[in-house]
Amino acid sequence: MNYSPFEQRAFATATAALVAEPVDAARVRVFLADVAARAPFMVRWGLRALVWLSWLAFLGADDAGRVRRWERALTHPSSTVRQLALVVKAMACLCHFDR
Amino acid sequence: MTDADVIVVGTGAGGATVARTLAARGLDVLMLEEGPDLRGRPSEPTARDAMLSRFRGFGAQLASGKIPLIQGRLVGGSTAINSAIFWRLPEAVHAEWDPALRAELPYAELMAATDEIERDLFVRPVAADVMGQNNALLRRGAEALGLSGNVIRRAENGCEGSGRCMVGCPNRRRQGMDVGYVPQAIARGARLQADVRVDRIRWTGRRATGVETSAGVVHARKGVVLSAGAIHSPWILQRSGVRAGHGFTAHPGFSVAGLFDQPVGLLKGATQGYEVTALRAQGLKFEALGLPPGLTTARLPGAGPAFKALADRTGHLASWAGLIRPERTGAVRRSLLGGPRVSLPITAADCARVLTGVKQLIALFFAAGATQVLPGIAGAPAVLTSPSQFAVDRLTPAQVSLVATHLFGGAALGSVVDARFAVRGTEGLFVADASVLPGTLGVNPQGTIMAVARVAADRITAALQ
Repeated sequence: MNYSPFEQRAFATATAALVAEPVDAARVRVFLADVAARAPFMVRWGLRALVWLSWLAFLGADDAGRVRRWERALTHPSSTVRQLALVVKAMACLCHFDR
Repeated sequence: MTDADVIVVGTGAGGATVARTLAARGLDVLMLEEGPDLRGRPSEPTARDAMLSRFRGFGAQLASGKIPLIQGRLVGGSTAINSAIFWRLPEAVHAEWDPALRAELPYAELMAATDEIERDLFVRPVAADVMGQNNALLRRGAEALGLSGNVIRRAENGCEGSGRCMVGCPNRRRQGMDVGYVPQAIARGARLQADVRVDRIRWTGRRATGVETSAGVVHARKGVVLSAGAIHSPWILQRSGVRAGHGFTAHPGFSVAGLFDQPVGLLKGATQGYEVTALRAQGLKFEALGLPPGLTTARLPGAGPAFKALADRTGHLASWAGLIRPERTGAVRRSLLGGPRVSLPITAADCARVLTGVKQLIALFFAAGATQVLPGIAGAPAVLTSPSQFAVDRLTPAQVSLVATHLFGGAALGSVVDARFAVRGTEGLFVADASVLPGTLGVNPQGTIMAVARVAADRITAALQ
């Protein structure tokens, strides 16, 4: 399994909105390839589902709208929504900041 | 793989200790480890690499579907990813044990084993020159509030303070089992086979005569010792037809971060160098905890420019954690997907304990001079500039992100195993790891697990001869 270019772009978009700065496409590609190759089944497919969810969540939003949607998910009354947003955030931070 | 007198399953604090002792007694020992042998690669460049190569399930193994359980999965087990913290079993915790268990595992015998292990692993307090600001600030906060605490004692031999315990000690100073007892076991004649998962025990009647593994069957001439940890030892027992897994527990943990005017630098100094023990009798303990940038930033609140503003200041960020002793125990059972399913109930009393801990950490941060504190509690202000802004008086499990470390139970002494560490109703099958402990310790468990395993090794040797 690997993440498709579309999924890579969706994850990069979510990460860029979170960190409010451009993200390195090559770094995203390597990160996702690493997860696809080495992470356990549940993590690989869980992240894939979350990437699609975030793509849906950001549909039609501009830069400011994506940030607002991030904030809404991270402070959502539902702990399930918050937890899912925190997982995407953790993956985005591992991708962008880990060096 | 060739047969052995004794197969030891797992190479963490329990397995390495047992294997070293049995090998020293002249037994032909084969250590089987599910994870990789990374002794030739002491550290990873990033947290991601460490989580992929050294952590079980990328750190995403969950209890009750939501609490990550942190375990190492490599030669050395969790001792190859922890901060080397070494606590002697507190006498007050031993006194909580069932009287019959206390009689079977006398405190003096455990302390004698601990003395020996401490000498072997160079256990010592963190040196002043590698204390680092994250630890020093916690100490400053504790002293300002008059709370008792300690410079942490660790199993290390010349720590250089690179703050990278979690990704592997780049200088091989941490005396995890990958550096300490596994090589010593090999030097005494034991063999090591990594990347081999043990699925179940092989029986001849009631006698354990080997193990079924991902690489085929391996026969044991005298016995099998399970030291696969508090999830997988009970899990292997269950898969082998032995009732186990009840009584599983852990230390759920939480963290609070704070920003200081002066630089902190989480990667400068010992990863964990100071602890606050004042509330230990209430089932709470606090530790400084430095993490790599990818994990530190994930802990910051918000998104977009506000998040970036905080992320740009991580050099000024201190990070401290608390752990609790939970009220109830959970279990290790079979999941619908076929693997182990772990439960760890978090009660209202646990939440109250966590809330007390979060409030205490907030107070410690401000007492240490933090200008902003990030409590990490849903429904509370994300950034505090004074303690009074945190007006939470009741916490639910959904409001806090808990991460569990220090796993215990599931094959407790006195129920699943007897005083010889033999599994009841079987022959030639033993358990020697955190799963035999009857509950949480409230302190970091490596020292206790090793001491119990050291005692177990003597009794197993006697039982096999």
